[in-house]
Amino acid sequence: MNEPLTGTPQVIQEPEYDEPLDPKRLRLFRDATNQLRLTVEDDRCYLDVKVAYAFPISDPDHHIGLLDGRDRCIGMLERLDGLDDASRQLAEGALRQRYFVPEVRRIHSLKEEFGAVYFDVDTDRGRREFVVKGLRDSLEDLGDGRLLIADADGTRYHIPDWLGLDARSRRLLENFI
Amino acid sequence: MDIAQNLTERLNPGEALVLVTETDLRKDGTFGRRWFAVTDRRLLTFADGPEGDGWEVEVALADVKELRTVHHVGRMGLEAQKADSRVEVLSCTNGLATRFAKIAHAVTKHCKEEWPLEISLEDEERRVCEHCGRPLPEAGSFCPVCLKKGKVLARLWTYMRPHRRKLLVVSSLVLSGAVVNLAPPYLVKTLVDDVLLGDSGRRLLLLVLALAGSYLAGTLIGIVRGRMSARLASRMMHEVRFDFYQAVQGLSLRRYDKTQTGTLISRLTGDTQMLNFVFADVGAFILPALVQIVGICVVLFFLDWRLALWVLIPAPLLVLVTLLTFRRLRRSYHRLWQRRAKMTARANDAISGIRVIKAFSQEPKEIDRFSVRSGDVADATAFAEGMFSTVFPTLNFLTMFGTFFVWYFGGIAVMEHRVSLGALMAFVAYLTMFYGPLQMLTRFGDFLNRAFTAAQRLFEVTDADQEIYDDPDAQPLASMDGAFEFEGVHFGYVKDRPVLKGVDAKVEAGEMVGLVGRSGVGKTTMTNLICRFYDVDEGAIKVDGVDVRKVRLRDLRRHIGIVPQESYLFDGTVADNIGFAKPDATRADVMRVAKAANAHGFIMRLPGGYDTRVGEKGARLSGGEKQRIAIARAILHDPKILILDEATSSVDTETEELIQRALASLVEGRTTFAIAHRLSTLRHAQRLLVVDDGKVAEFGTHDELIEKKGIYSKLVEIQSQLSAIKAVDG
Repeated sequence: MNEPLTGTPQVIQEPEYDEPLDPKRLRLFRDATNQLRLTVEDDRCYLDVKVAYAFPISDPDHHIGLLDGRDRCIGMLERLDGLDDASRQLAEGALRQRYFVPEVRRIHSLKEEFGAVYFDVDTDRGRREFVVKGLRDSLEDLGDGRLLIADADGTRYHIPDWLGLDARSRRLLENFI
Repeated sequence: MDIAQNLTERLNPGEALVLVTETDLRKDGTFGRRWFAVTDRRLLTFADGPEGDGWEVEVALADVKELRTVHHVGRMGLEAQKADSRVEVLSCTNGLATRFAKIAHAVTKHCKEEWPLEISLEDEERRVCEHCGRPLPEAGSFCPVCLKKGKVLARLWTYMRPHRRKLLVVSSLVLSGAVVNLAPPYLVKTLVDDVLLGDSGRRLLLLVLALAGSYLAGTLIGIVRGRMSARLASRMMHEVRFDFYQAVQGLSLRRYDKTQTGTLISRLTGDTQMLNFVFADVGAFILPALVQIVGICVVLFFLDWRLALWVLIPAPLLVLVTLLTFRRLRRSYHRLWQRRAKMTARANDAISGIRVIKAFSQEPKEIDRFSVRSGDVADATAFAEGMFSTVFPTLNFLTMFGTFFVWYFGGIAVMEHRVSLGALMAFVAYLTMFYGPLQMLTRFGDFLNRAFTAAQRLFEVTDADQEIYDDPDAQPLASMDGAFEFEGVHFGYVKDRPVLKGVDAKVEAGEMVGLVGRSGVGKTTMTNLICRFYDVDEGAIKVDGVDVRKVRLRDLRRHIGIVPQESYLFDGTVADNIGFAKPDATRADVMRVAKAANAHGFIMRLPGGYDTRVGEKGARLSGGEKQRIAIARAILHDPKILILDEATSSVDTETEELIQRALASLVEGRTTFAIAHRLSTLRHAQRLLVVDDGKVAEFGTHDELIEKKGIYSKLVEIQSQLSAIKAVDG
């Protein structure tokens, strides 16, 4: 009764390696075609590897995941530190590539019209104007002064410590928190 | 276009330009303009700068097998796949994703299937307002900044137009009322100067009558106008609300996904209230105030222009100060309102998911969370009200300055016989009639109403009654084996409509029992009773031999876990939802249970990973994904007794397998009470309990019940037939 039919797609266990990966046994490198590859020593080699945070907002220093070419989770790394220098640099680079979250350094203007809030800010990637629909819902207060603001396109902007910003920026933000 | 021309000059001879467009991220990942061009031979990316800089990326179309979009977190990359390598051609923020997806699609079609290279970005949705250049909150929609004044007034007018005759009447009443109100001080002047101090003593009675008459007229006009404008305003308000509600009902589901229920509701109440102010108070207060102010200015200048000047000097100053302080005051009330709304949303969330909170015994944490928000509201209130208490008395004092000036300069003028006493008295009278309305006008826009609405919603929460409470001498329950028992249980949600009419059943510790029966027969009710969401009417439910009513509720619920039919995910992150039962769970714990529930895979695929927000405001997860999160949540809870209310929604075979395996790891070692719809779930059960007509009809192993050829064996037969038909799906 109810045996799986032949030909049903195989269900892969995710993550493939249940235990956290030993960084000493890993090596990340770019192959001839510039793809990121991972070898798990004595075991396997994976093509087109991606690196992802398990907790990008609350704990980016720990629990880094390695994904294969089809976005399936290979295994988890407790920290990047244990990797050899070259691998670690590649991992960090891949993370930088994957996560685009500009950090707001200063707010030039903040205006609310009809429920949409218009920001004009300086970020670590230059000056940017963006609009936020429904600031109350799009602004996340992560505690300790950390804020995450999502604009109308879904791009997130990070403010590490809004209380530490210059006086003007602080004043402008105050009204919305 | 200038850039196109320049570009054409830089191309190779014979090469034709197909498209040139811009992206908003530069090569180094900073915000800024960067150009991208497609020719009939190449893909070119170059910087926005002086000529001669060369191409930053150059790819020959002949080498391109596919041009695709790569979604990162917060940006998108355009990648060209060549025979043996990949090149990132450009990068853009999410807003331009549609544009480059379109280009990628067209180029790929050309390279793979030799379609002609035609790309048109003409019908691309506008992302920036044409007038003010600001980004649009919704692509292709209107710009709130530019739209505000003109269109809204026009909109308001469409509601006023059908009533324009009545509006005309109200307006003329306003005018006449204002004029009539200007009379009394002047009459007093005449009274004082000509009658009391002068020699027209006969006219005393006449003037007093005239005075009384004008007051009477003013009052009558005021009453009529007030009633008319109130009725008119409420009529127009009703029409606005009606239209709005109709529009809300007609919104496409996609808009409902984008907008939260709370927003719609606050629009219906909050924004319409703002309009109400405009409709009602404009007629009742604002217009009369305006007319009055203008009229008084005229009269004052008519009486004595020098004195008038002195008196009116403080006016602009007062207006300025009022405007400045009120902007701050309004902002602090706005902040208060926002915090109130946050707090209410928290309460709203908690009440909607109250079953889950109670099942995992999280009430204290919920209360803490609410208390934090409430604290924020208290702070904001203290600030706003404090400001209010400072501002108003100060402004009132400033208002008095006009009067001081009048007495002083006017006094001098009277003593020098330039101005009569009566005139001075008239001045003083006119002054109060002047500054009052002036202040009110400057305060136009003060919305305290909103704060009261939120407060009302708050009290509804606090006044709601608690349904079940602990017996004062309830025993604590440190650990549990997990055996439980129904002893002659009778129960009905409504007193005279019983659902369970005498249920007797004993379940051993660690056993998995499948609960079977028609819909509505009482399966979910039985699980509700085990969790003690309700108390039985008759009989008892015992856990490890002890009546559940004699045990501390918190302890009972700690040992009972539930995976409900519809997994409600709270507004929070995936990690929050999984770790709901154990707030002190480490991230490693959360991941461990997620792996066991076969959820780790799809969670890692989410851009925010375990920090992705789900629930009402967050990411939309599929039914299968939600189920697995609920299973992970239950695994973390680690209960001795598990209640499984199986979701009836069908998922694809692969997901089904994942869920089944997740459930298998969940069920191990626990006493499980599963309301099953799928025979595959029942396959794992040690015994099956068939409920029919409020009683236990059959209770035994699968084989025993098949032999009986009763209800269960019939169900199995039907299901098998159905499965055979269903077998070929995804």
